Amino acid sequence: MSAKKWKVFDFGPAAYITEEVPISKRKTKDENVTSVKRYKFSSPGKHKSFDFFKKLAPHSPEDLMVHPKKLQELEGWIKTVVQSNKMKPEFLLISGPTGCGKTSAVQILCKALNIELAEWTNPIDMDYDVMKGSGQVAKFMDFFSESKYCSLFGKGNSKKILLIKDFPNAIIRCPEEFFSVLEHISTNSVHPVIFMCTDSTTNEINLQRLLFPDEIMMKHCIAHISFNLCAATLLKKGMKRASDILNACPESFHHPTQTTIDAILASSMGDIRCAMNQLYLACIIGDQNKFVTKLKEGKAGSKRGKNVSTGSIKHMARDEALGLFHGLGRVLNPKRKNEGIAWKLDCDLQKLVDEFSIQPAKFTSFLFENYLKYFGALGDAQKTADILSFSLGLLENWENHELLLMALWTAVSGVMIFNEHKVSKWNQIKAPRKIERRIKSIEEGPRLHPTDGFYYNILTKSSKYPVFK
Amino acid sequence: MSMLWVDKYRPKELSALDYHIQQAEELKNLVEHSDFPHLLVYGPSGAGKKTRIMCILKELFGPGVERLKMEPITVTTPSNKKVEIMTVNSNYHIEINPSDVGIYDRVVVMDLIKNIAQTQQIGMTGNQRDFKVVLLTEVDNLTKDAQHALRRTMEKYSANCRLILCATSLSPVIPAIQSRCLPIRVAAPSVSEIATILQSTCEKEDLELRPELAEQIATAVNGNLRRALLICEVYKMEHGDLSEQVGEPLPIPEPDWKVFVVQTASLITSEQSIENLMAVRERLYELLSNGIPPEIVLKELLTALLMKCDKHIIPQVLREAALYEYRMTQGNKHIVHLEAFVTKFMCLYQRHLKSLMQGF
Repeated sequence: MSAKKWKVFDFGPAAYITEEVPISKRKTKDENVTSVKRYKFSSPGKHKSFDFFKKLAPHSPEDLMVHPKKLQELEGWIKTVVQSNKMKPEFLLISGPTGCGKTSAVQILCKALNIELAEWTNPIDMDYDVMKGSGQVAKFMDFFSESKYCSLFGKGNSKKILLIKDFPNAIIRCPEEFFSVLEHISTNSVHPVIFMCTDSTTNEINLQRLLFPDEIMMKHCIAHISFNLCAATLLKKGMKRASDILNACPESFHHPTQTTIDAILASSMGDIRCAMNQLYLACIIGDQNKFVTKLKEGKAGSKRGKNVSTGSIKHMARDEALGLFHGLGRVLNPKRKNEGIAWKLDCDLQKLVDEFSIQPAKFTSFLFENYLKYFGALGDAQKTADILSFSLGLLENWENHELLLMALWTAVSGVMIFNEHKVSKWNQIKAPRKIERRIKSIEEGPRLHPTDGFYYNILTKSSKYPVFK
Repeated sequence: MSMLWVDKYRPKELSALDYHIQQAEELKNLVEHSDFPHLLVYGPSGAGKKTRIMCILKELFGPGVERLKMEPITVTTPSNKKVEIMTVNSNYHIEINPSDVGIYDRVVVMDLIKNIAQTQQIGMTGNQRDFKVVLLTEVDNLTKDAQHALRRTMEKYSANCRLILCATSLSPVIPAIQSRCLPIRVAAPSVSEIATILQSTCEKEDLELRPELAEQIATAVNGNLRRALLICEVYKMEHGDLSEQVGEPLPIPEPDWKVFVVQTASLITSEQSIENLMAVRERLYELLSNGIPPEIVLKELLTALLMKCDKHIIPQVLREAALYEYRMTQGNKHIVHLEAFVTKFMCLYQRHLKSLMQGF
């Protein structure tokens, strides 16, 4: 065949084996790309010569802001599977929060080890109208079998790894199909496969739990590497690298000041992609002073130990997730706003409850264990104790998730509203106590009710049952 | 170690029971029928639930059920944690107290019973029945999850196994379980019944018990026969003679936890403050972690508090106590409701004291 013939051939819309070059362009998620475009419009024609994300994207494993140990783990896996000559695909599951560098790590490592990486992308609906082709799952299946052919752009002899990040919707609705696909490819395919799942707090879209239950992991010997949030030091390092690159560039961008960078670091919560997007935004916005003053607020907040994402950062910032202690602190030290003779809580209760990243039952028991220390008057404590006891009734007899949230809501608002005489001092947070039975009901010797232990102790002159002082 | 009187003179046969004779007859009839239902035996502590259950088992399977052995069984929770639970079993039955493993009781109920129930009895001879009996104690302490799991198990394996459930109170048991069982209420024996049993027990020990003392003990224990026998034995050990009164009538020894509760009550009335409340919480924790049932703690605490407070606030205190007792039956975190009751009482008490002061 001559090359000319191939040139006129129409490949059709978006082939689903996406090649290395397009992938590195797809560095950011689609919505980010669109927002970037919008900003480009606002300052037309100014930085056309400079592709921000392309420039800042990591190029070698050293540039990756992933913990070295994790990187080593991943590299080890890739090396072993590529070297093994088994005619059976190896599987790896990578999980981790958004923007911690999962995809980049895989891409950069494959590049460094000279391995071809093929990523599955869901065909968009438009394709169906044109092609009237087979269903999504069938195509997904084809992806594995077709992948045994070399790519036209590929170097031919290099090894290949398949990356599944975008799970077909049909599969999410019906995990059994995925299990059968797995079954099929574990016998028919030869290339190692990497699955990538983003951590999620809600159950409905928790892919890892849905698609990779323990028995599946065991059955197909799926290795699992779990990524953590990007550590603060690494994030700092990444920002430094980014600003160094920016500073080295010509005057096409406003160079972010240290204040801006600090504010970005404080509000990105371990999400390096988010941090980079914010940096881009900061660089693009013309009126730098306006941006900085707004950020100063945010920075002051961060000094008090709070992540206040303000004004211009807001629409690019991550949703805030409150840790346990953070959440407890907010609830146990409520802030009030006086409005004439009335007052109200200086916080959005609904937002606060939504931000808790801990089970309602657990949080309520933490509240119960600690609320007394923050109360100054018995009357307040009584009302709160009553509310807690009431919300516990809801918590322990829940029928759906909404009721659980409702119970948490009741408990939190009770503790916050009734604390009229707050004691402001530092208190240690205690974990809820577990009541463990010291006497098991079935033991050697006569079996008695604990209330009769006292007599038993006298009769046998022993101290098998606990003594009260 | 010599056996306690409680164990030594425990009736072994339905015909040897001392009270609720009519019920014993009915139970005997029930056992003779080939179709034996699931049982739910309930009644106050120390009324003889366990004694009756053992009698029923003996009636069902013969003396073989008395050869007991203790055996720890390990079950694995969904989170891969290994939990060990003690069981007492014979060839025909197994006794488990699922609440020993706390929140993991659901796993015990599901796995353990399933394992037992799936093995069918073979080679039946004579009076042997074609089912095994699983005896679950303290069913009222089971979590809701476990109770729902139990409901399913009961239906599924009713061919190979029968459950005998033992509970102090029915209200925490979900209606679905109640309706699947034949409920048997074992009421507490009356004062005279207890006194008679004490007399007969002492006779077997070759001791003479004076009737006043028997009466005194029987009144003090509030229908708890086991405690009556224990007190009687303690009395004998501490004072030697039960037949004659030497000097002043000696007081019945109160158990230490009761004294502890009374002390807690005086702590509550002595001062009403947050600090005191924290001290009370510690004491409540201590009681609960030593296995004193929360409903008994609440009851004893209420009794002790009522002795100390003015009659004007008694109705209100009782109303609050009823509310929190109800809430307590609905869940497993009893300490929260106990504390809520204590704070409520403190507030009522404080308000009452203040109004008294204003009167002067």
